[in-house]
Amino acid sequence: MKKRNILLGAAYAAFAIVGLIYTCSWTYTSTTGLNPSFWPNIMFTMLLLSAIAIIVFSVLGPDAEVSEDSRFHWKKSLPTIIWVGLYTYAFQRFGFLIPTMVFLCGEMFLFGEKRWKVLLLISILLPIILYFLFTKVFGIYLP
Amino acid sequence: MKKAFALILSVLMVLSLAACSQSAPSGGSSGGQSTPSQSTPSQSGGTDAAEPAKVDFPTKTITLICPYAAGGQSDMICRTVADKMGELLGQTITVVNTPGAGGSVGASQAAAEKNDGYTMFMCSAGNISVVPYCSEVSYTIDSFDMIGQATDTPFCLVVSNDFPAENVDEFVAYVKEHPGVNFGTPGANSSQEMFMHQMEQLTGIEMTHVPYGGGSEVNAALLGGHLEVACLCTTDVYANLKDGLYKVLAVSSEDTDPIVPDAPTFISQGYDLTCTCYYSILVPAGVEEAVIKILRDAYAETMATDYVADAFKSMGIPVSYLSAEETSEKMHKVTEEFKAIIDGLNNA
Amino acid sequence: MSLSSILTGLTTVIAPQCLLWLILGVMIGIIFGAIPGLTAATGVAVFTPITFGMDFAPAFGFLLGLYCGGYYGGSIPAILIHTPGAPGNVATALDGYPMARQGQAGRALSYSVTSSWLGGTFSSFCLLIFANIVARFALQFGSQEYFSVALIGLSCIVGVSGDSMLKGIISGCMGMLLACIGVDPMDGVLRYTFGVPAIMKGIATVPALVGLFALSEAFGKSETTTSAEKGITGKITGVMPHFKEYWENKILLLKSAVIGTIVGAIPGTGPTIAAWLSYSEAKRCSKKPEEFGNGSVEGIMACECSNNAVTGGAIIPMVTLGIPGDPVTAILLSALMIQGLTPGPTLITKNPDLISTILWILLIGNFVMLLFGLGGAKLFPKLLSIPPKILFPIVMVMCVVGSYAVNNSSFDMWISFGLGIFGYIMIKFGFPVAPMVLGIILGPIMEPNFRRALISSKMDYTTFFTRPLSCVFIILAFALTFIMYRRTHSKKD
Repeated sequence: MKKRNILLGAAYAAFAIVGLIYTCSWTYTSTTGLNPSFWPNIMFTMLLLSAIAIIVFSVLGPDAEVSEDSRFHWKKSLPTIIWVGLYTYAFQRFGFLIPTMVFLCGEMFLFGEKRWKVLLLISILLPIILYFLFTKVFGIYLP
Repeated sequence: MKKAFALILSVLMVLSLAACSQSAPSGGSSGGQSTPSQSTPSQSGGTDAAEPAKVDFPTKTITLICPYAAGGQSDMICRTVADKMGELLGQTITVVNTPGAGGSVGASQAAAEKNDGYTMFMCSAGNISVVPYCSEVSYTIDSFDMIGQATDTPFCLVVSNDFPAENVDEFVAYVKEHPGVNFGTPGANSSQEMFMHQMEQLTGIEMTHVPYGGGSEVNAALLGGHLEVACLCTTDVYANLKDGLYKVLAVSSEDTDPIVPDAPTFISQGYDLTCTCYYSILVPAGVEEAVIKILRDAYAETMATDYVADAFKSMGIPVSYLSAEETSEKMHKVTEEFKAIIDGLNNA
Repeated sequence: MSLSSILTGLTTVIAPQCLLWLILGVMIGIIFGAIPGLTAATGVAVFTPITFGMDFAPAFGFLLGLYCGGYYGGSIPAILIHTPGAPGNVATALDGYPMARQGQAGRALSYSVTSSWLGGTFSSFCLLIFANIVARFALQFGSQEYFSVALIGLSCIVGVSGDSMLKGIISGCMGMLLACIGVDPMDGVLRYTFGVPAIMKGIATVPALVGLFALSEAFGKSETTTSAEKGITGKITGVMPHFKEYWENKILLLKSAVIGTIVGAIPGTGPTIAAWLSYSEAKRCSKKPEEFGNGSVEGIMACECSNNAVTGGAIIPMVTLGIPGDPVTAILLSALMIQGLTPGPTLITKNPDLISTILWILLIGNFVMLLFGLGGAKLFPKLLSIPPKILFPIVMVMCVVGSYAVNNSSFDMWISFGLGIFGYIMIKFGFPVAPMVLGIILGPIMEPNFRRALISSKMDYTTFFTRPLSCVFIILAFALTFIMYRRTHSKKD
């Protein structure tokens, strides 16, 4: 736990420093009020201070075990994340219906649904129902 | 479980009822009114003269990009126009709201769309005539071809009831004595702000700009006594003005505006300030001649219907249709004016 | 307000046509609220055009029904799948979801709808009796006051940060920074857009919410779910509300309802702030603050009660001043004008029946919502009996579609996706995501109002303290932070 906190504290501190430097490079000056960089700078400063505090407290404080809940299981979650990313891209590129069908089918498979009848039924019917609901009933545009 | 099914079934039934009733009113009300308007295109002068080439347009759904959030006034304008114009063209026109950054998000997107006539865009003075000159965006006025103007609303110089001025002369005199008086507008880089700067440059007064987040926020600040001077569109003003909650010193139209009939114009008080916030329908530049003609004719016909007249009237905005050439001329004129103001500000 | 006009209002509203539209409105509202990404505001915006040709009573019955139903509907997915349907229901998710995990989804839903009903009803009466007083109070809010009220909202971070307040502060700062992206509200300058036009409009709240709560949860679930895992079944109990429980919490409910009504009436705020304020107030004076975040009944009650109390409150400035109190009433305002009614101080005096019609619509609408909600409390938990391997893929689709549909923007989908991954990692590191949402929502209120207040006062920093109302709020904010901090940390020693 100690290591993780220090790691993340350092990451945030680095981010805040980069942010501060970038924001300070803005040239725009307001004639009447505060500059647009004022507020982000306050936030970055607070971020930096809190991150440093986290590092300090973690170094000084006692170490705790990393609980089972907060371990990463990338092997399982990464395929899902990538699959959702692909879906988002496909949605943008090819519209709603077909990508959704493919996505649902694949994602349920990833989650462990192996009965192909269920897979096909849901991944074909649900997108059609949703499409109808959004475009016809709600009047919300979908590509 | 049976109960559950019954409930789901009834939900579906009610939903389909909603779907039917949604299409019913628009179809019903417009069906009755389309007859008198049929004659408009032939009257509007030689539109049915020799077409350059017959094109089959439109063959699919047309998109109208509204750069503001659904439910607002601009959205209402879009939906009214889309309903009627789609009916006349025999194709659905879908309104797509892409709000953000004072309309420039929608404008950027529209400018980047294919110029096949299947994408239209409703612009306002702010996002076409102001933003390209004070912000880094990927479009200018030349990225678009005009279809026609929908409406335009003049600006009002609004002051609170206890502000010691009854006309523009007194106002200018007061601000000269007390430089740095705050004035509110609906937002940074809005056409209202430009108009106030125009006034400053013309009269040589100095004020402090306080941008708010929309017309209703300015109204709230005025009524709460947090703000004494503001510049607002007539549509934002007229309800409170009617109830005498604040004063309008002048309005920026050429003649007295029917929405605020009691307010004198700037011109009548000897100040050469005329400016309106226009709302026009555009397409990305370079649409085929024959296609754009179909759109322009359909739009002209749309704007002449009672359906549009009624809808606009209930929103408290005038129907001020202008043809494509007139629209273009006006937009370029306003753009030049605002550009000059922005240059003036940058050099100051 | 005479008795006769109240009766006229009743007869107008219980006409079958009007009643039907009202029921339909509530139903559609609940559905819109419940789908992540679609909110009451979307619903009212989409359906306003169809009221063009309708009479006042059915038109407003429909729209106000949608409004009430929508604000409640968001709590359903918040409780069931940890996905607040709308920003106002985030606090509900904090306590409702743990309850659902303990197999008490039905009870949680029942608390949520009953409190919503109480809050909505309370604020409708406020609309009738105190409209003018509340409206005048709301007008007292200048930029300074907006800033200080948002500061109170910010003090909630302490309450939702869990173990480490520092981590909460970091999350809050990240939220505020995300809110800075886009066009600067005061000078119109672009910030952190790096020349990409799509970033200009900034991070929208709803997609961010969907990403941080729903997608991150789904990503987390993908680790633990096994193909054999069954849905949560079991008996749904505790659906019928017990009068006693609510009576025991009468002070809590009353406070939340008052907060909701007043926050609703202040233009430019909305249900999110109301819910957070009530939530932290409930936690502050609770006898069992340690239960908050682990399925506290009081948390759900406070949050949902004030969330729906916003409805009546927000209508007050709309009808009395023509100024919308929250995003939905901004749209209702144009619906009002389509009906040929010009909002303003004389609206009520000229149309005395109008306000009583609105009152009855709200009362009946809230009651219909209660019936649907209680019925639903028996039904909706069945959703959880769908095995996770099927449920979560569907939830993901809804997330992506929902975040697209808010603004028709594919950029918003990427925001959801990005924040989903970010949230997933942060939760693993023990960083709470709720403060981040708080930052995203409060940032756009705090920053422009802070700068606006300074511009109007010619850069005088004391302006926040010389205005009495603002000064009181600032003191309250600091006091709240202090008390909450002590309460959270003294428990452990």
